[in-house]
Amino acid sequence: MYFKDKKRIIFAVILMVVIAIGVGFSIYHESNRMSENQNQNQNQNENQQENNNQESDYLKQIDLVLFNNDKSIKWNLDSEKLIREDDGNLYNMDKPQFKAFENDQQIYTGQGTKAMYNNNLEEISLEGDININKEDLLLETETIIWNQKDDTVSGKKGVKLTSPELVITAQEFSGPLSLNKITFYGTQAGQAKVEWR
Amino acid sequence: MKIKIRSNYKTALILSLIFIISFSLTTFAQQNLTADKLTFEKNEEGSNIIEATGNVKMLYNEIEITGDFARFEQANQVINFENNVKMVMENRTLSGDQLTFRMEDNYLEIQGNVRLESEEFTAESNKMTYDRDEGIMNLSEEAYIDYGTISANANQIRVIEKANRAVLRGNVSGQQNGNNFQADRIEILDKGNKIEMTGSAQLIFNPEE
Repeated sequence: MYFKDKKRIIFAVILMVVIAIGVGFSIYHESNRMSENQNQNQNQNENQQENNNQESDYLKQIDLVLFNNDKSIKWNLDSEKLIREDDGNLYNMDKPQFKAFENDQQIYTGQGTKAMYNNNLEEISLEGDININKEDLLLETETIIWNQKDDTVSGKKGVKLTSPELVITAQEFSGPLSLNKITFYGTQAGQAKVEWR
Repeated sequence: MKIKIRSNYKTALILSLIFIISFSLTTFAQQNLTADKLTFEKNEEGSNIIEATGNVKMLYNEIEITGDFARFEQANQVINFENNVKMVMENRTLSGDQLTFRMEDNYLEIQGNVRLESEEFTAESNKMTYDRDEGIMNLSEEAYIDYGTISANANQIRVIEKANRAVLRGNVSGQQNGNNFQADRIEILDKGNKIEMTGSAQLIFNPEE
């Protein structure tokens, strides 16, 4: 009897349409929210995975062991921190310390401020105030490079060799990895010089 | 008064120390070798060996030696120079192809195109030894000397610096004031103004033109 009145019928229809729209909107919103949550979760998972990957590129207290071509000399290269870059082509190290061994006999030790291993160039370079102690010799330089292709070591800037008997100063030096024979070079700025006592 | 004496004593002591330190530093600085390239290694005995290449120059007290190449054995205090060797010492210049200088003995040997120039005389030979402490030079192999008024060749020439004389031995031939002479042995005395001939000697006076 109630629906005999047209106005009431129209009101009821509108009410049902509104309810249907409201329910539909709720379902739509809920589904959107769920998909967003899923995306967020996925992103979070991806970020977490990336973070995990990054953590694997950032290592502390690293000990690297490097050999020359004929395996007669090895370097134990330690650093407080190692960062992998360029898809593993570059490894940067902080406060590197190295010990060189020839047939298990320690031949020299050294330290620097930073080190970089370049996989493509097959070079290990160190910079900073580098001091190398070899028996009673102290070799100081600002940079050194171990070229693994020919197993030579070279250095530049502020090169100084001190022994109890003499002091050599030069702009550059080079020598075999064993450092048994070191050649010092002068430049236009100044010749290589040895002073003795 | 005592205070003043003590003060003076302290001042003198400090000045003496400064002088000694300065002298030591100066002496240290004067023993050096420079070159375009220096190669350092230790020999089997553990002694330092240095090879210098290119524009080599050594300063050793009042001596300066230059050459193209040098090899320094520190334990023995011996240095060898090769090629275009030139040694400047006091008022003398010595040049040759190879030079060995024994620093502890103050003794040197030089070979090949040897030429010595000094205020008193000029000498040439293929080989020469020089004992700097004794002031004795021995020249051999095509030796020649131009000393004062005398110029002569001989198998051996010995110059005694402290006595201002030179002794020439073996096939001696030369000139003095335009007159030729030959002898087995002659001595040049009085800074080259006088000669004494011994053994078989011949003096040929050239008539004045």
